[in-house]
Amino acid sequence: MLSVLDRRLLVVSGKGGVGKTMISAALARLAARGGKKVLLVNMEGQGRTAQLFGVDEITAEPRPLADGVWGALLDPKAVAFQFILRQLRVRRLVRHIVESNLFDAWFRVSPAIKEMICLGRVWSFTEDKSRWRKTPRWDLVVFDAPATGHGLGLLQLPEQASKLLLGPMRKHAVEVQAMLEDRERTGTVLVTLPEDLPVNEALHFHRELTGRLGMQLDLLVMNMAFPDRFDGEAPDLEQLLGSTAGRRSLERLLGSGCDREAAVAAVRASVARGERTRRYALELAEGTGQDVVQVPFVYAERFGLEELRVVEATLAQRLEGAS
Amino acid sequence: MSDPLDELLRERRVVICCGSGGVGKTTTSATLALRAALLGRRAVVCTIDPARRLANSLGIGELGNEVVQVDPSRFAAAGVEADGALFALMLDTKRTFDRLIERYTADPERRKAILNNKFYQQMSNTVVGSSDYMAMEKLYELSEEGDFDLIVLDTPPTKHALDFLQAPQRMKRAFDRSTLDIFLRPWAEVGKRSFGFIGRALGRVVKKVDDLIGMSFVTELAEFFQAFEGLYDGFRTRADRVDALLRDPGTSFVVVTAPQPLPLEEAGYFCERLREFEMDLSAVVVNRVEQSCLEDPSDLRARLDAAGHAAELEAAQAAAGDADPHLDAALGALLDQERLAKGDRERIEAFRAGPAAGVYLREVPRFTHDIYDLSGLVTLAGELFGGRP
Repeated sequence: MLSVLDRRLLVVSGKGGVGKTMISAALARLAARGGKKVLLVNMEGQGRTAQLFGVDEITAEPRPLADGVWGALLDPKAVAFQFILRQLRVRRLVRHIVESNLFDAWFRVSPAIKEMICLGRVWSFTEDKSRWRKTPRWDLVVFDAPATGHGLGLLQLPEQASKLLLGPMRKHAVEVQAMLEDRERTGTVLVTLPEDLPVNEALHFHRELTGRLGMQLDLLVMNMAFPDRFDGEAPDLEQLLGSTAGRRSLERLLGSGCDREAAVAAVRASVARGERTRRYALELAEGTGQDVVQVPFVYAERFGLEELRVVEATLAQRLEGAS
Repeated sequence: MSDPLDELLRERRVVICCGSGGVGKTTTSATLALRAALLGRRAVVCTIDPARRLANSLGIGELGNEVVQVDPSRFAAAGVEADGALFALMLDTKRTFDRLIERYTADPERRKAILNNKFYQQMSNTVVGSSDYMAMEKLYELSEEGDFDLIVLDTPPTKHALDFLQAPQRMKRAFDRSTLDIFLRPWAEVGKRSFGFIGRALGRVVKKVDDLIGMSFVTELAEFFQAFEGLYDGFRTRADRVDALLRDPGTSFVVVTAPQPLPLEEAGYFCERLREFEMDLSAVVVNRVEQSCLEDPSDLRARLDAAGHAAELEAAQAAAGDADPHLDAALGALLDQERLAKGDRERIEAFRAGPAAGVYLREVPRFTHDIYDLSGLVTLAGELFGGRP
């Protein structure tokens, strides 16, 4: 099986708040560790990417974030401007069009067009050449796709747009679609959580992607998986925490004001969350027929380089295990 | 003193819940409406995209855009009694848009032209963009019909809070006649008539843009706006009225969020914008707050800051004397829970002192189970309103 990191472009999708930015960053670092030159592209959430890598900001111009990883920010309006400029060639005219109220309204109501132009721009990164040699500038482009909150989001846009448009825009849409469908070049990654709504949406995403769009899902990540504390066999917690040893260590940990009932309830809740994680992972695996790569919950108050390393290491392990 | 949220539900006519996606906004909206019904009001909750199971349990699983009364027998089954009545509605963006067109288009030919227009279909079907406005539109419709004492509106999970508050104004701008005149008429009429110098210049622009986008798209777009002739005024007046409703003293906003950095950041932005637009922000609800099992967690917090987590855990495990992997695991789970609770606490405090300063803030603990039915909503209500309803 072709490893997911051996593609030229990875599109990372998922609802807002599932940790898409973290997983994108970890995949980029992982590929870079394998000796690749990687470009990580954000359309939003660039602040979080910057925080993860410990840099000040992500700019439109690619800049290094870590060994082998560069970051770039896509500004839809700027990308649209460049796209239209390439077609019309008259800068003043293009500025006039782009700054008009109507264009603004149209640009907002037809998200297909805005995001498709951006998707095209992301793809064009894979065709960038290094200045002196004719080799590709990036071995891999990881695209942290914007959260759409609904269904397939970005991935279905070219298909939609190619139905509606004609002329160069249609040509563009068709090209972008062909690029997305080429499994040799493009990989799709979906990030989800062990919760009711995200799991159902992931199942829906998979159905639509493999059915209607005729594409494949290459990597399914369940982020924030709760650990199985007792390897599937939870002991009698009342007894455990009520024993002399249990009481002593509880007091050491939580002080004399510790309410044992509450402590038992807290451990129970944690066990229940672990059970739910495994139940949802099973549901996902059965529903999609795919491996579910679980990334454990990271207990941290602020996500930075250290947490990113942990996630990267887990992904490395799971990806190796899967292939 | 009575509960501020109860007061809100008793006195207002419209409560709008806003916040980012995935924070339990729909569930919170439904719970507010339920509570209002228990308080004796005739309340309706208008939801955008409820989880299937919640929709089914409210009885709106199959029905888009229709107000449905939640069967009073379900209340009894959930162990509560309602003096008022609870209704629910699942917003269908396209149908709401279609109805708007029907209302303002007397001529059936023109109506057909709009409804069949490709651009219209694309625009009314795209969830992003028009759903903001259509939620407002539905709210206005329900408010005008006057069948309910209270309308609770669950808003679309817009990334940009501003979009939603400005939806009416934006809609108005999109239908601004002068914009249309400059950019659309000549496009559609090029080749049919000769213009003056400006017309010819515009003609060239149009030709270029046509080459770029494809004529059929431009034609569709032009047809769309032409079919809208005469509707602009109606649309714009309506947008103004919706805007006025948002600022009405009977309308108030509740920001719903979760204690993670991203939702809090977006909630903060929302609070700021509501103030800027001089709209009434009445309460903030923070869902899924991790609980500490300590009466006074500050001591542990201080020790965690000083000694770090690993050291604390080691010391606690050592205190047990004999090594017991089960006990180690239980202590590990507890410590992790305390860390989560600590993080949530600190972020909520910062939020309370910052963006939510001066606003009633209610925390709801994280439940061990997903909420998807009426008894779940009753449980949530118990946490949201201080005492059991």
